[in-house]
Amino acid sequence: MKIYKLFILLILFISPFVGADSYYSAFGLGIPHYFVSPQAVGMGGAGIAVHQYLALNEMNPAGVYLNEYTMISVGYQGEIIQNNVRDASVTTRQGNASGFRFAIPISKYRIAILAGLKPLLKSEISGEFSDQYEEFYLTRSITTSGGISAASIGIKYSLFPWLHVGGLFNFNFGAYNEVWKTQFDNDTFINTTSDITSHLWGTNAELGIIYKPSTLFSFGGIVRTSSKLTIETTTVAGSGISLPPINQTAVYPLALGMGGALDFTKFLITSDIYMQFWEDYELDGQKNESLTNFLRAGAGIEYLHSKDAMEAYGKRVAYRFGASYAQLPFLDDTGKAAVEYFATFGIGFPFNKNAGRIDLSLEYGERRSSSDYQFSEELIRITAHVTSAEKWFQQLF
Amino acid sequence: MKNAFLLIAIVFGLLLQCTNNTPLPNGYELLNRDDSPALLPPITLYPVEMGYYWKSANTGQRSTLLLGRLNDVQSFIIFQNRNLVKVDSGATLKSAELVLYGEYVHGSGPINISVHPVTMDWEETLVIWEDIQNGYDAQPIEQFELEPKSGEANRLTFTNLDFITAWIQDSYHSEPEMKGILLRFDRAENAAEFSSSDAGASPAYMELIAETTTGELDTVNAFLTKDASLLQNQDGSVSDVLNDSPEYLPVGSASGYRSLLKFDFAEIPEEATIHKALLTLTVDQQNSYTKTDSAASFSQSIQAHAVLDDSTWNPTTIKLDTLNLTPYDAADAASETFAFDGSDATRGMSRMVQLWVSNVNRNCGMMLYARQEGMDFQEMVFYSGLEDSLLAPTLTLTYSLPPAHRFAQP
Repeated sequence: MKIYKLFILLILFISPFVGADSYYSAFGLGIPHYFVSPQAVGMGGAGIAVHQYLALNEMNPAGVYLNEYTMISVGYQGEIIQNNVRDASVTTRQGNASGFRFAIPISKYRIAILAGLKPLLKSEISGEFSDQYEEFYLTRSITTSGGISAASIGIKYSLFPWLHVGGLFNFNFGAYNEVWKTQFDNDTFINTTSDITSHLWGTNAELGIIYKPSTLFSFGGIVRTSSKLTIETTTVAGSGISLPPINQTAVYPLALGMGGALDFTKFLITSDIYMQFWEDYELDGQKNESLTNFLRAGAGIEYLHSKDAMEAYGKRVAYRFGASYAQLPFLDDTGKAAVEYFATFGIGFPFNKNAGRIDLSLEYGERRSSSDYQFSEELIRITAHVTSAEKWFQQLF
Repeated sequence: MKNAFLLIAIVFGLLLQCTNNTPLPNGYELLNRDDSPALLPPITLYPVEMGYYWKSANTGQRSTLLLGRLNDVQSFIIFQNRNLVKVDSGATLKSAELVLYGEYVHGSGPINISVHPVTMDWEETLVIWEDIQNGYDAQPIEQFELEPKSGEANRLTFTNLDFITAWIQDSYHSEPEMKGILLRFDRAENAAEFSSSDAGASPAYMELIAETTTGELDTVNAFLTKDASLLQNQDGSVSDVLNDSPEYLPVGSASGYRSLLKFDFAEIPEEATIHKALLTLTVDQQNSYTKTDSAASFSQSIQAHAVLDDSTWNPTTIKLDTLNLTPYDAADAASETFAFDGSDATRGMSRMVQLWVSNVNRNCGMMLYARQEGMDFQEMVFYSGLEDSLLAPTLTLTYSLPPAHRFAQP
């Protein structure tokens, strides 16, 4: 119970920092949300090949390891971003749910049903523009937010103790909302607000595999199929009049990932690479020349003195370090791709005799492109997850 | 289990309060995808159709009573007083006065007033001169000469006390035979505005002094129970007939002139947002008249109203949009131009134009009329521009187009 209280206090502590904009989220569908598992966040995001209890793997459905427990995991992520443009900078904050995962074993150690809700892309940016006219001063501002999430349902199947596969069916959905305000300092003019909302939806599938030739090594791989998204955009103009909706389609591109893990008694070392083919992104059949492929590599290490629930509490706390590099799927106006680097640190606090874990992670990084490009960002990201193993549905097996 | 749900609830509760939009110092160009300006250059439109007509207005609920003649307009007064019942029916009437508080006097000189009994029923909220002109006794019961004064009570002293006594007795009947009094004149060179029974201060009344059966003198103030000005436009034209190629656009309070204008918005895109619509008219100062005195000038309040579903502007059937707020502004005959340029007026005009541009309302033009018709003798006359296009009304629009949405471009 003390751990729960600590978690609540930490959430309350980080909540004032939530809320962050990114210049880069103005491109395409926004910034990809990369997440493997609560454990992986502190390890440079690497964990595609990890097949461990309480490391509820979201990226690789084959990596879910439940024992006989039903497992629930919820997460929360707060970002502080210092947005730099030339010599000016402003600090913005953002908070997002980092998904919800639910796994039910229906055959002990072999088959599990998986369900979850996970963010895929996010976009948040607000700006302001002012101009002086002869008889008034005009300010135009925009606030945009949105993204795409996936509601997933699937299955994990352990063919052999050394080979696990999993698959998910995703219903991808989301909305992007833009609010444009036009304001005058002369009250003979009418201030107006235009509200533009685009709803998107589509489906795709995910497949994952874990290959464990020994207790020391494991390899994992995933593939996410592309998804044809239907887009419906509605505009309520500043006049208050709703314009006819606009219907479009887009292609959310294919993604591939693979990784490896070394599981020593007290150390876990893992690394991943991941790629999503944003060059194949299409809107109404047309490609976007300002997009490039998303490439990500990450690696990390975890130290856990003991997994024995009867050991002293301090010895059951996990410590994690890692780093990651990503080429973001955006080209700046000089044709260079935006990149981001992160150094990560995480701690895992078990509770209820290892029947659950709270994973806290801190990431520090930078997002930028070429030195000629005026925009860059420094990020601090705080992630908190609670994963709980419950003895539900055991009558199923 | 219970704790896990508590945590979930806390996490989602926190998410609800984590929105914080801080404008970034730059990057507007990343979002302004069509690189469009915030505002398009203002566009000035000229009327494609114009017209005017006049209509006799009922003034029963106005706070003034108009008496006299100014330019081509004259006005009589009609009233009824059921409050005469306050006078004891057995008392002997000693004196009777009609007390009218002067609000404003146009010109100077006396008005020769004749008092006529009204012989027909009339409704305060409907009565106009055309109804009454054959409904009163041509033989006056009394005649006065009044030099009206503003800012003080004007008293008309009745000498025909027999008539007033009969009126008092009649007021005791539930169905009175006496229908009221008409104050008219044969000729007047000036005009006055008095407080009516609807005025908030100094309403019109009759002061009656009667001797009771005990020999005491009793003074009764009997406020008029219904009254109205009977306006008559005598410019020689017929009421409710549209002049659709006018040299001038008149708007009159007592004369009942109403002008009509229509602009063509075809060159404004339907999705445009109107930020400002400024209607400006050039004043014919020679023929316009607003109140003046040594200390201040008074302006006439002119209202604009969208015309509904009648592009022919038939005066007998024309309807106005009463669902939306309508702009009004003050016009002054001493000014060269009049514009709906006050804050509320401009915004109101902008909203009216927006409904036309967006095709929410059919564009049948707008009517300009005196905001309180029948309230006074003021009149504004504007140039239509048919003779000199430089003097034509103008409607200047400042507008913007919706920004391009996120998926407007690949």
